[in-house]
Amino acid sequence: MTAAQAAERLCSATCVARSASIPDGTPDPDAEPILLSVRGVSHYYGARLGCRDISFELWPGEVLGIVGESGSGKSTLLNLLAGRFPSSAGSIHYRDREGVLHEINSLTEAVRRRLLRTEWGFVHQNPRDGLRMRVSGGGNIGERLMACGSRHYGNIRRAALDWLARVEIAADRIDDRPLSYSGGMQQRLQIARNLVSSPRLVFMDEPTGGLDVSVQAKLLDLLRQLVRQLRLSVVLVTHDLAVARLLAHRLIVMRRGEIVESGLSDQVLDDPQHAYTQLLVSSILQG
Amino acid sequence: MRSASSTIADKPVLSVRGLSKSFTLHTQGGITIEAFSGMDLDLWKGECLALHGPSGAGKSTLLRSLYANYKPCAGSILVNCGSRPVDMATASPRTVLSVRHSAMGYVSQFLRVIPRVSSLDIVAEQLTAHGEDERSAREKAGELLARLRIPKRLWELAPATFSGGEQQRVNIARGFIHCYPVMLLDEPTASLDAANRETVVAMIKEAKAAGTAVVGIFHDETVRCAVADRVYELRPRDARAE
Amino acid sequence: MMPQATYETGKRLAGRNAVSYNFAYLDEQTKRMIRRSILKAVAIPGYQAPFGGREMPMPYGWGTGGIQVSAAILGREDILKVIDQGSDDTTNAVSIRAFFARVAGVRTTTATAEADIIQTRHRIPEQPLREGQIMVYQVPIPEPLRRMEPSETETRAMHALEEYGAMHVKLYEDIARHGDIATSFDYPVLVNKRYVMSPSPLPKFDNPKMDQCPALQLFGAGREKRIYAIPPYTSVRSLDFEDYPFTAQHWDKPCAICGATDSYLDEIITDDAGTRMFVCSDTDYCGRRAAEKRSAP
Repeated sequence: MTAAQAAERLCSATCVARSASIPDGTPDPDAEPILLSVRGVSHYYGARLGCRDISFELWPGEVLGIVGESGSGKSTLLNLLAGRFPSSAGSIHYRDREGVLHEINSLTEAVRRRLLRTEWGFVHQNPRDGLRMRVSGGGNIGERLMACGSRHYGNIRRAALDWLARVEIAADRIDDRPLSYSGGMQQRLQIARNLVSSPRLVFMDEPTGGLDVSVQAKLLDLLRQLVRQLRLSVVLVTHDLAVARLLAHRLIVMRRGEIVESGLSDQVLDDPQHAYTQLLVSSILQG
Repeated sequence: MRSASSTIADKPVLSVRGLSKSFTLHTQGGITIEAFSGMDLDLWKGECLALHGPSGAGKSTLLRSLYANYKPCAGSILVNCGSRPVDMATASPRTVLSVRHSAMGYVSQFLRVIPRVSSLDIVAEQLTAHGEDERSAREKAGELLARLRIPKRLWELAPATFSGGEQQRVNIARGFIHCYPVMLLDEPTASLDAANRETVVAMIKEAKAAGTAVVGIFHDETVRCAVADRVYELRPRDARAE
Repeated sequence: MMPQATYETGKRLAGRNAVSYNFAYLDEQTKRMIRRSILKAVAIPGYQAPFGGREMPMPYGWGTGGIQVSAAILGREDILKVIDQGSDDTTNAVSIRAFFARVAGVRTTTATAEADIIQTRHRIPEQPLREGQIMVYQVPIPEPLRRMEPSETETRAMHALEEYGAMHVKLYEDIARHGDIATSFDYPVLVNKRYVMSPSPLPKFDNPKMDQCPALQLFGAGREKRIYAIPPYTSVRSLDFEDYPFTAQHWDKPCAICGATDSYLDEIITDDAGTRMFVCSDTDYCGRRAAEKRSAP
């Protein structure tokens, strides 16, 4: 941040803090350019339904939670969004840093991989799926930098140390392999490995899924902070409604491959309209 | 409609028309429970409106509906604070979040605890979210917690293990540290002792003086009398049904 | 000792076996197929071109890839040199040389300057190569990314898209663990600024010799059935970091036999007491220098 920007921010902050009115010219949040636009997306595995007629938008800095029971099509949808396989119908548009619009289904492999290492991140439920288990923690974090052309060992090392600190892993573990890390540490390392190249959109598949409750809390708090600081957009798949409430601005509730309800996270969870959401909320929160 | 050139002061900051809310419980045979219907109210800058009525009359439901935490069935909730009025009943989730961020504060009855975050940070985050730098945000948060008699040794602790009263005071500090044009208060003094009650009353008065419009549920009559300019009566459901 | 051309012997043997074998063992169809792969490999420097590897009368790991490449390019007038660990007289080198002398009747030599084709496993001769010469390397594992990425589909995609981040991760790990890039053999190179290539079990000492080399360099992997190539005068850069640049090995002592200070030295234990000496691994180079020293006044 430049000094001028800092001064501007400081000034606007004091303006807001001193009186109970908001300055005019508040931008219309819906007028901002959309980051990800999903239209009528369906996917079939042969004759079996993966998901049907999914539509939604995602804006910069927004966390969208996709909730539902296992088998509801959440992970299918996440994989479609990340372009891991093409959808049977519908379109997915992503707007990159330069403002170029990409249709995910028709991406060339080269562009898809470039987006995956520069603009996106993918946090798997099982950190083993997202880490190189035979490469040190530092090497895991540094890989994306090296993939993006970084050729200075000292800089890569510094970035790795910085990110280890940000995900609360002791600096002296930098040369240890993730095999020697605890489950929570592995998951935090996976997050650091994804965020080191400043992606704009991160896909998360049950990021707290395999962790103890106490370890979950630490990870959630960390994710919450990072998402805010880096103004990340996140598509978060989870079956844990508490996780969804804490991290997501908006929720999509899926059942049997379809969206049954969507809206503001706290509204969906506190005043669910659809029978399935009511069932989900009542069964999980009481359990 | 008035022309766009009219100033904000001409209009109520919050204008509710024909607001209805009922709950359909699909898991319990689809029965419908009506909370309230056809509700109208206006709220002007710097005034405090107290919602009053017996338990079950729908006071909290109304407050939550104003905050768009509950989804109204009919009617409009016009918030007139920014460059354009927003209807909280029909606005997109992103617009609702934007109004909540810039124009509406809400102090719930209970603090929803965020794991691992210290009390000081829970309060300070409200300022950093509005662009204040972290050091001065934490400083101001500390001042407010001190004013609400939260001992300094607790500031760095997450409030999960605090007493009900302590949690509620952290919650109040969190709601009041940033000055919003509209504040919604759900029994802010319920579990507080006399001294802290006085402090909260003083804070509400200061907010009003700064121009904040307040809608609140105040169980305590002395508090209600001290802060409220008007009282809005909600009748119990049974009475309305007759 | 001067090298001795064994043309006469080769001719005699070839004559005796002419009925049994086609020239240079492989049939002409197979040679054509291999040559097509070689042409493709030369056209795309550093790219691993597949070829239909044949069973050879020796086990994998003994240089079947290199032998098939040599067999496909060998002409009747070519002079062949074969080295193993820099030496012309180890079992493997002697066997392969004898094989071609027998099945092709070509002349063989130990003199680098005299050879048209030099088949090798571990070394590039110390004497600079010249235009018109062909180096044939026997490669055990052609895929440089293999240690980082087990899937062949994935490594092919990585090559196609120039995704070489993982290769640098390997070097990063070296520095993190050993304080420096400890890889000393099979040190990865970038060929013609495009493909990352494995130089086989070559010591990194020889990596600089591949850069802008006047000779054609062909690599054959028998087990994996891959051929790749570096055409003459092609850029070959060893991968490194800006702050940890590539360095070749060097020795504090000269060769104990010929006194060379610019060659790759092998450590030899000379008695039961563990006495060590360092001598050139390139026996032709060392012998030639020692002879010159003796004849000098």
